[in-house]
Amino acid sequence: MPDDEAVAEPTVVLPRWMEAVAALVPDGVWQIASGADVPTLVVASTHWRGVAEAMRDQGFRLFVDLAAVDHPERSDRFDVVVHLRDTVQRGLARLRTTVAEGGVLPSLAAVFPGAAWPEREVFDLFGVGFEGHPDLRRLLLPDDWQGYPLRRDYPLEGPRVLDPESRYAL
Amino acid sequence: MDVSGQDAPRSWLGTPPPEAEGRSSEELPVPLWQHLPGVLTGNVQSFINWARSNSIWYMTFGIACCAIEMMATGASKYDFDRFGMIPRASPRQTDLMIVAGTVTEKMAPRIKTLYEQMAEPRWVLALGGCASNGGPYHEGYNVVDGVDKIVPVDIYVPGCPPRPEALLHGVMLLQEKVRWVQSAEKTART
Repeated sequence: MPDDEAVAEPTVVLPRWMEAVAALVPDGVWQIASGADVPTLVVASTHWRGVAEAMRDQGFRLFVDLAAVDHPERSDRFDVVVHLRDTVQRGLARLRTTVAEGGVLPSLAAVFPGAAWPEREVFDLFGVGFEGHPDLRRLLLPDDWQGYPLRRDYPLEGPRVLDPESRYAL
Repeated sequence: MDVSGQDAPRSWLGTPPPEAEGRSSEELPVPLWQHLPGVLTGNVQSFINWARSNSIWYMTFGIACCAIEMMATGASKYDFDRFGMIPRASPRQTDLMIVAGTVTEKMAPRIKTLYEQMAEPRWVLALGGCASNGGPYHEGYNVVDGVDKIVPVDIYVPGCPPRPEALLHGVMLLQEKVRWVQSAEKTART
């Protein structure tokens, strides 16, 4: 490619719903980004449920998944990520927020009933609490399990290392 | 066929001993096997073992991907039925538990409960690497390193997953074990 030929910057066209949601919850949206793959809203954890309700009212009625990411070097340690889909306009959206260790997020189970089990899974494996959840118990691990295995500082061998007296230590 | 011996043809009764000439057939000292053709003699234990080895009913109990191979082995191409093996949904009705998959710490008490609900004599076949020793998840934080940590295992079938031929081989080895190991010993061991 010749050097003198100007390379046009790709114009980022944000979807219309992003501005609408940001206008509906003015304090809740910290950042609007096109994202590498999916349009992303970075949300204040205090407005987590309000933004989710606004997204649902904008047409994102299908809850896809809820997950968490551990960043042990940060003070707000966990990213909680939600993917939503608009089945009419065929768009995919991502909401992201941060929680500190031992912190609590508002539960989305009242907004999207399908979020109840993913929130239990995040509680089980990361130790993130969800306020207002109808049944916040461990989902995949036994009820008397110690620790949260998907945290970065959890030993790979699990309770065999943590507690040799544990009944899970073989 | 009339096997009472009275009206049977003389040809299979054998030749009477010389001193029995002139007596009726009921008084003849003819051995039992001569009265009843096709009779085999043996002890009851070997007969029961033979019957058990050809009617091993297994539990429909798949806990991971090896269960797909178990289903394939039970389907028409490989056909568990020709060994007299029928899947049963209740542990009360089964002789064999095929542990087909990874045993997690949460599943382990359930497996032990199912094993204890099976009627004796009972056998366990560990299908695949995970059930044998944890396999690719060996020493994982939530994985039991082999189902033999919680229940006694008779046959280990390696593979990830094992092909149906391997499972059939394991079943035939188990049949050998059922035929030649006294079931009373098996009962005492568990």
